[in-house]
Amino acid sequence: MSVAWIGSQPVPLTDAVRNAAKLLASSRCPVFTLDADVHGTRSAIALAERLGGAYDHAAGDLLAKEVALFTDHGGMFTTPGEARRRSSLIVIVGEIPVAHHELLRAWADSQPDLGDRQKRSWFHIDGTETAEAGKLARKLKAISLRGEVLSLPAALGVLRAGLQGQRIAASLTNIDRFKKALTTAQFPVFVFSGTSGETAGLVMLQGLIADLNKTGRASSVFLPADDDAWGTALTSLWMTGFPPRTGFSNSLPSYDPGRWDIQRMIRDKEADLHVWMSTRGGETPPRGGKIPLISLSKTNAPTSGAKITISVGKAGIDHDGVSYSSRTGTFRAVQAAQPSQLPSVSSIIGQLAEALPGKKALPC
Amino acid sequence: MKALTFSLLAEPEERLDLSALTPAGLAGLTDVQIAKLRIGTTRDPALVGDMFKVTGKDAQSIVFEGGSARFDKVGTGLSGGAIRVTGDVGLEAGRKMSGGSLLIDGSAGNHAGSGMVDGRLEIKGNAGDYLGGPLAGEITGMEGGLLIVRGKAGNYAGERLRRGIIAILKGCGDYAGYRMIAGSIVVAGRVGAMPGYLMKRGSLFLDRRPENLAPTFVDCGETDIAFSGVFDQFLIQEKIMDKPLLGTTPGKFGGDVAVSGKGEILFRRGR
Amino acid sequence: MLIRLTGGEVVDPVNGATAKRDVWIRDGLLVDAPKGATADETHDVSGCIVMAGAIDIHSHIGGGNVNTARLLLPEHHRSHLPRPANTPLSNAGWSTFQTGTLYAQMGFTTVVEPAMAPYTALHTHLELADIPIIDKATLAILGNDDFTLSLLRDSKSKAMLDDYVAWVIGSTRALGVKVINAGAAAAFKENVRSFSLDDTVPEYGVSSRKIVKSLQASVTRLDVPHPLHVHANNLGIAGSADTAAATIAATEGVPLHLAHLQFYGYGTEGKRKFSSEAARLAEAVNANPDVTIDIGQVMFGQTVTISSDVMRQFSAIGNASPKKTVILDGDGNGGGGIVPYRYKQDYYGSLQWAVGLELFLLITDPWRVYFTTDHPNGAPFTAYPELFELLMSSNARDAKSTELNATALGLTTLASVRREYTLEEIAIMTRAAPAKLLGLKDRGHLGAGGIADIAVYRKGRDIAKMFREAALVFKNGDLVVKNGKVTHYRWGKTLRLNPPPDKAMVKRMQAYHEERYGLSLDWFTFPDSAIQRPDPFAEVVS
Repeated sequence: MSVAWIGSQPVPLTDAVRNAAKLLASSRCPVFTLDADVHGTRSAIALAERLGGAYDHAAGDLLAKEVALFTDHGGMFTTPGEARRRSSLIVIVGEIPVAHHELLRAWADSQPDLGDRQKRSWFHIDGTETAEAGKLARKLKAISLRGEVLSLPAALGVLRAGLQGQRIAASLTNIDRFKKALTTAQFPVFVFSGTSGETAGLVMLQGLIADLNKTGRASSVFLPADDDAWGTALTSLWMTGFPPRTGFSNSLPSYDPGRWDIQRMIRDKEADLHVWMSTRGGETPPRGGKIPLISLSKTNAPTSGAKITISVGKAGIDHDGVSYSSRTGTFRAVQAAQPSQLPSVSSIIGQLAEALPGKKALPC
Repeated sequence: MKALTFSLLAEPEERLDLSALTPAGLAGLTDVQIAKLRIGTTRDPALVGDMFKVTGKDAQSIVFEGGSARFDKVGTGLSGGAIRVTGDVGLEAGRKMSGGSLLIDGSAGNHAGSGMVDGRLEIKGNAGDYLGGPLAGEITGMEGGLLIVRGKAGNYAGERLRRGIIAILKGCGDYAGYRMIAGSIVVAGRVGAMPGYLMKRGSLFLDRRPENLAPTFVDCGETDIAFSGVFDQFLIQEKIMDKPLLGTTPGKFGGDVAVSGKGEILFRRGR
Repeated sequence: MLIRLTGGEVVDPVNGATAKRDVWIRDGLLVDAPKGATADETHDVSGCIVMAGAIDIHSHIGGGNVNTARLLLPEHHRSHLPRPANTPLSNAGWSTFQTGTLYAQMGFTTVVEPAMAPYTALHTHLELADIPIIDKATLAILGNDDFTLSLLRDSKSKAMLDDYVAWVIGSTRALGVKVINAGAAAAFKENVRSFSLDDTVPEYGVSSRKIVKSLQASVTRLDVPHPLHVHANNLGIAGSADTAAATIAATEGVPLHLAHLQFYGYGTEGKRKFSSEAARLAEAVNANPDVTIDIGQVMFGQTVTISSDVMRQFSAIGNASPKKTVILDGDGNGGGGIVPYRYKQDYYGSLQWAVGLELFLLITDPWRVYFTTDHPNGAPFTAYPELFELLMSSNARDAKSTELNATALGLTTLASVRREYTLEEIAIMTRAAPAKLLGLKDRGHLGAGGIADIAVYRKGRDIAKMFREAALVFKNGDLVVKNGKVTHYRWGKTLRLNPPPDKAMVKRMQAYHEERYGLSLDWFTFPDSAIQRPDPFAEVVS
């Protein structure tokens, strides 16, 4: 079975690496789309630094929204474990990605063993714009908090104003039931994700939680839209001081979610080489780019449009690794579930670095 | 003396960081020194001499002949003198300027006037998102000065504005005046959704009733006629508007009450 | 490989008086002058002083909370000036790479991250492994978790507590144990807003004192070299000197380390009801040989406070500058708060600055007081050179005092204290004593058999400059810094204890995690190989 291609021609891995390194060495502005575990990400960022490139995650748009809540505001948070054990009142905010539904259903099947230890009750605040979110809410028997023709940011504003006792014309369904539930719950928790609407609404949500903490306790659980993307953000932070959408100009990293949005850079023809990673497999690179593409993808066929394709494995499936898990809210060592011969992203990037002029090993 | 003029030789192949090309930054530099300033941002960065033909001597008056959406950070920290661009500019035009005037004949990208403290920034075309707004991580936007956009502005115009005046003459996108702290935003033309969301203080002046206002603004009825007259006069005197914006009986909303905000949205009635 | 440093003045109080002598390195270790051998490499260090590499016992250099602070504050390092590339990622502001680079350039070769939440141990170690050049170590946090509190509530045996503590140390690869505002994080979840030594945690009925005493005893029984590292209650509050004094009085013959004492040095005198109690605390420390302390010196300027003391950080939100914060109610011992702060030269800042210096100067035994700013809480570690100067020069203190708030300084003894630290005292405080406190026999001195961690400083009138840019630094015999710049990259190790896990405790932990979190224990533990560097850990044998 082939693991490397130049165009559509199968080639030995060393040939693919040598050719990819040539493209990298001659690029003026390479961009990297990341999709790997912690160690793949570490290697890719180290390579981007060496080449004066820029990087983002494959799920960069949603990740940028989530990052913006922290960089521009902050907030009060708790972990999934603590919410499960302590919170008898959970409020789902907008749409939560399907990947997290099992976690939430597991909470529904368990009883808090700390704090007020009451039977858990569920609410769901949402705008009028989404349908998908309703399915989860029904499964959890969550009571709906929404207003006529109100978007989620508007509804969150109405809830916050209402809890302060402000008099406004709009109101939400079941608001009295929610107020009653708040009087007995000692640690209410709001569950949100990058899919829960605009960052502005999430800032409103955090303001609401801050209000509740003036006299009682409340917090939020952040379930990232994509666990791997969040892991990449955390890794990027310790390596460069910044979350993704960071670029290296004159060996100095700078963070700018607009400037280093690499899909924009490709569209606007600023980038001249795209290193595209997809360890989850079964994906194709975003359309529209006309610049040379190096694909590091979990695939058994050459990536369409790629100058070079190198097949890589996924941490936790093909090889051991470290991934972010929203089940615990931190990193987890993952073992290969179906060990394979596919190389890891970090090993391929290490080979690329050593094939560059200078042949220096990367710092990680 | 003739204005120090940077004539663009060809469309740049990379984004350019032009923050060094200000009156203060260029004062006392020789032609050769200027030509060697690095402005490119890629691995193989361009120098001033690669991109521009430089003529004229007066660094207090700088002209960019031509323009590009890749001209970033034009007029950064401008504290006096004048800069004019005869075409478009990219990101962060007039970033942290504290005096002087910056005139863009074309359109500007995101974050024009970001962190501006004083001076006058005028954009004849359109502006991108985050007009006068903070860069990622910063918690205050524009802190003073006058920022005029003759065309349209994008989303989040005037985010976290703290002082100064922003005037947009052909409408703007969503979340105008988002998290405003104080200051004034004038918009003629259509305003997108949720103007004033999370605003604490300050004023939005609109030439029509906002279509999609957050429910956490309360209707205050008619407002002080004398004030709206004075403000309209100011806009005309400063050549921002050529006719009154608010009229004599503007309506008023107060908010954002979700943050106990004391901001106001004044608008012309009857349109 | 035989290396000789010749012509330098060797300051190594453990091995004798300061004198000009050669220092010899063979294959990474310090050796006595070999008879008749010629060095492969000789460094003329005339005009320089030669010390062991410095050791920082309390500096928040990596882990979940440090990383969250980076996330909250991307604008903090936006304005770094462009400079040419030298070493990988060393231009990345406040990154792991820059942390190792900057520490090494000051002659520091071992740094302890003092606050690792057990459940996020893997994250902490991933970050520490990406800090180049220096060795690292961490302390595991205990005392706010349901498991410990339940053991104490249910009066379970000491042996069971010991088994649990040993399991945590081993599974998290820690060098010791820290307790942070014992019980307060658990109480805060139940809406308790203030918490003192004799307050009890709701649900468990266990007092903060009982938690501290139980863990202190357990750590001692387990022969963990580093005594229990205590972040006491009421940090930063006017009147907190009483809490610190009570904690010091509670040692009862058992060793205990009290962290960042400066933040507890406050009384309630004066118009603003905020005054210095440093003299009283220094006397209490001087009188109690069980106690060691570090200072947590405040230096002026912008910083960010990072602490797992979530109750304290929540109460500080109003003082955040810039106004954005993260508060995390974590699992058990995790969580905390990130509150950016600017220390101003106003009444409060001036008083805090003076309290730290008073403690440094009035505590007489340099073996029991440790040099820290509680990085970044009192100041970033990059302020160390200026702090060395303040300790070694009363003139420097006087000069700085003239810029500060006179009313605040008037409520302190600082002006009357003329002590100046000698180089020997600096060497004890930053080398010999930390090595002893942490149980690291192989470092902190320049005697034969030790590892060749060496800092060479060019003598000069400018003390801060001398300590900012080491002339030469060796780590395990590798020359890593020349003239204040890193010249060679290498990877240090994370030092850990490795107590064998008790089998019954492992079973108990498996059952606990499955029942309470619905997840098997392997979600919370990891193999060494997860770090993906060769030999990331080194075991310290006690």
